[in-house]
Amino acid sequence: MRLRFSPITFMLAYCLVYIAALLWDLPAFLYYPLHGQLSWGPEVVKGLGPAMAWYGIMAEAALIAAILAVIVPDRWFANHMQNVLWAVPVTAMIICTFLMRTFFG
Amino acid sequence: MMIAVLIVHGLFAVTLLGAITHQIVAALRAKPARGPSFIEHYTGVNQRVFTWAVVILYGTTTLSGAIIYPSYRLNVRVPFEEMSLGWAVGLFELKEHFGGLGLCLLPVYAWLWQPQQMQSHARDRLAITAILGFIVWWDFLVGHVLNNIRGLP
Repeated sequence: MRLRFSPITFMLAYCLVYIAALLWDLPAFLYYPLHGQLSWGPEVVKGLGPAMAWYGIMAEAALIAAILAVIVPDRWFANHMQNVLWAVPVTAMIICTFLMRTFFG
Repeated sequence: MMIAVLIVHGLFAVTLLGAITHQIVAALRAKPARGPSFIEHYTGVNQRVFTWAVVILYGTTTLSGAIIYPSYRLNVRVPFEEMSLGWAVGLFELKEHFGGLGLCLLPVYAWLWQPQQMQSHARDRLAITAILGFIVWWDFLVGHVLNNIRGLP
């Protein structure tokens, strides 16, 4: 069986997982730049300085999306979502902006 | 060392900004370029070559940004918080998340610019390219403004 990568499925899954991880604060791991250490899961380890979730969120979204992109063919999305594909990343960016509103308050 | 990576990151970003803007302007122009004017030459791009250039430049720009990000987190964001510049932190958060989301657009962007998709998905092709263009411009401008407020030591 030949594996085929589906770019539309990858985009849809990545946006969904990224926003879900951001919304519920669920990065796969946290990075502590002060000590150069990683901790698995979203729990912040005390005493290691500021934690960074971005790498963990991106790795999580990319891994899940890559697996789904190989399993789920994008034929259905290509046919049924023709010319509205752009709405998914735009919605994800709007949700991101909404979630970051506390910085501007 | 981090200053050198920051400069390389900036150079990649400028090149990417030029490439994606060039491609968007060309895509918006319906008629093929024929005349001798600057506009005709500017819009007469080889879309396939530009697509791969944008994919590679976006990847390298994001990678170099990811390398300097810990330094920003420790040496720039903490002082921003101490100076009560919450809006600056918020702008960077948006830069970071838009940049992260832009990565997932690259495969579909490359797919949409393939010759097989030229007869379909016209709106998606233009919209996805424009979203990438917006992300690149946003990230560039925010990075530039924040670096002017407080650069990496």
